[in-house]
Amino acid sequence: MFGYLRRHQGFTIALCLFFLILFFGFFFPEFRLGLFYYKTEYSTFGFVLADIFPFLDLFIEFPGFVKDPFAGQFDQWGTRLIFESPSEYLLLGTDDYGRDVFSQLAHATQNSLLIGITTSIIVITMAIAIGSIAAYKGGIIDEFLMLITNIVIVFPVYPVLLILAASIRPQDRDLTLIAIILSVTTWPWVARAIRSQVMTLRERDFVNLARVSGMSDLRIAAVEVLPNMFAYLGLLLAIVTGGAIVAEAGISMLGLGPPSPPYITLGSMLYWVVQNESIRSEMYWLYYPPGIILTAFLVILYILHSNLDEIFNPRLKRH
Amino acid sequence: MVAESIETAEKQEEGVFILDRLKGLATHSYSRFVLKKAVFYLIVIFIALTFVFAIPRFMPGDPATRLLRPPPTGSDPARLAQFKEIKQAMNAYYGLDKPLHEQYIDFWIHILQFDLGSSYTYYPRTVVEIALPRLIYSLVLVIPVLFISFFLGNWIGGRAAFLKGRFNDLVYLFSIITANAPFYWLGIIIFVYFVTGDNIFLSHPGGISPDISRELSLEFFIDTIRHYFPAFLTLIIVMTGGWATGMRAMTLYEKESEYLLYAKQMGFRTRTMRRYAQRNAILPQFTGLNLRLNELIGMTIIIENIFLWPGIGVLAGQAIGSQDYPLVIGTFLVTLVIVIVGNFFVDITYGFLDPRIKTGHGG
Repeated sequence: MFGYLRRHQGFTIALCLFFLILFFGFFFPEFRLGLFYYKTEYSTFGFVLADIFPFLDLFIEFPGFVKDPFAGQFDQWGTRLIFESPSEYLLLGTDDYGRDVFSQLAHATQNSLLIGITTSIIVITMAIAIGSIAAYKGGIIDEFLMLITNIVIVFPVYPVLLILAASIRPQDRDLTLIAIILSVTTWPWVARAIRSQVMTLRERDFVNLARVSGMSDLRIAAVEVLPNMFAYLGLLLAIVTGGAIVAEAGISMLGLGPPSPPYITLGSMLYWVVQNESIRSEMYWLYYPPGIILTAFLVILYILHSNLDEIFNPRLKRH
Repeated sequence: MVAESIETAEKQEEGVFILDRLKGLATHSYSRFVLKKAVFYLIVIFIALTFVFAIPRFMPGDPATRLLRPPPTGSDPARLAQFKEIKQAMNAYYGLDKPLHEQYIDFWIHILQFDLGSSYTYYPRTVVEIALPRLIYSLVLVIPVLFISFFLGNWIGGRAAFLKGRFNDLVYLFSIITANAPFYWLGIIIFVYFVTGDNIFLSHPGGISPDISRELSLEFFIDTIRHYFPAFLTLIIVMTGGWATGMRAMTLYEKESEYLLYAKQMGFRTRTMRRYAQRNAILPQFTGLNLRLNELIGMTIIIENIFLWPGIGVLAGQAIGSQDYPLVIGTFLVTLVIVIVGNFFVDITYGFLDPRIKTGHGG
């Protein structure tokens, strides 16, 4: 799947635009509902920043600017340029093998983002299925599904990821598989959140009306309940994407991420920095960039999350 | 005769007394709560162990193919036959040629005797033998961080909710950043700044500098602290940020409740109001303590690899790197046991503190 994206760069651009529209789509419902207390400073700031990240991927379109992240850079006499500091040609310098760090960053951001989006799509799908069935049917099905959810929540995330990723040979791991593994550990709390939302919606008049008029349960869930949750689902999508990106980097720090030659992610970059003991050196261009991108992305997501949280839980309003 | 009959009467009374106590135990809401939790966690352990049993057996390949390189198909038939022999011998050693349910029973017999097999890289030392000392190092990191960050973070959060204006926002901003910066990133920053740069903290494999001898001297102690502190600092910062954010939000919510609004109108001192609010706001934090403990253990595993503090995390990293399968399973199980025991204790404490559970009206 990701090979396809790599070859068809136009499609990648379209995917980034979709991500853009997704973020943008958060804010229209709010304006329509006329929430005038909606603080524009933080949220528009977050909104603007969130759009910059997909554009990092566009740099891959410019072949001269972004080089192959796995090829060593050589100077005109054929010497491998190891541990070069940032210069005009090599924007972020090179690492221990002479690979250009800026190209690594561009590719890594794209891969991390793709893993994040894939994970969130899988997680949201699973969580909608489980959460809405549990909330809607209620009773013993609800109890049973909640028991399963609670059991999965108790399992500590990183050790489970450890076992899963260690059981799969490095050659077989690709981005989609990592996304699947990550979604297995993330879906419970999303299912819970969706379940509580569905439960509040279930008591509303229009749902009762639909039930009385004889619509089948599935139809009610799909046509009446779900569309009202779209804003919340978008928020969950954003949160899970961020969480997945961080978790993926976390397992990469243990060496369990996607293998480095074909795929590089932000986590792999950090992993190599720790492995090569480059943190013991003064080469700031090796360890700052991936972390800055990760932190910035998380802070943006948190700002979006807290602003939208204020909308969904008006009690937390800051005065 | 009289003495005997008195004795029997006393014994009967005792028996009834014990039965009464047991009945009281079984119906009292707190002990029912504890039992429910214990059963839940036992189910989790059972599922985890079955998971651990199932994964290697359902993965393609067998021990011989995974550990050794099988000869390619076109080679000498003698080599192929030899490899087949080796494969059969290994399968017999690991008990993989027996039917599945027998393997399952054997598995459980071993587990109940705490026998997790021998590690491949440290053969013939058993996994349990290797993992336990590392466990102590990890616990030395996890437990202090948990307690200190809980009290410190909640204290900061509770105070922040009652501060006016700019301080409030400052604490909010600070707690967002510390709680959301990826912890391994913070670890790398601290490493770079303090270990590489200032050399106040150190990081060596094994947890102490190579030139210090392992005796109970002041030098050893200070050296160990210098190795311990960067990991400790990273974890404290991240966890405190998380608690502070949560506590601040809960206290703000609590501030809006009627009794505090009334108290404010009555002119109570801020200190008194804060105390009341904190006491109520902290209860939901205990439910979060479980998940935070799990988070903390996961973070510790990764942070140890960055700072080379010799705990379970470093063991896990090594095991994965060398494809040492029993050791990987062992680290997973050890971590799981810590998580479950920790969660169980937190649940019991929460049940003890929340008055609604003791009286049976909530929980």
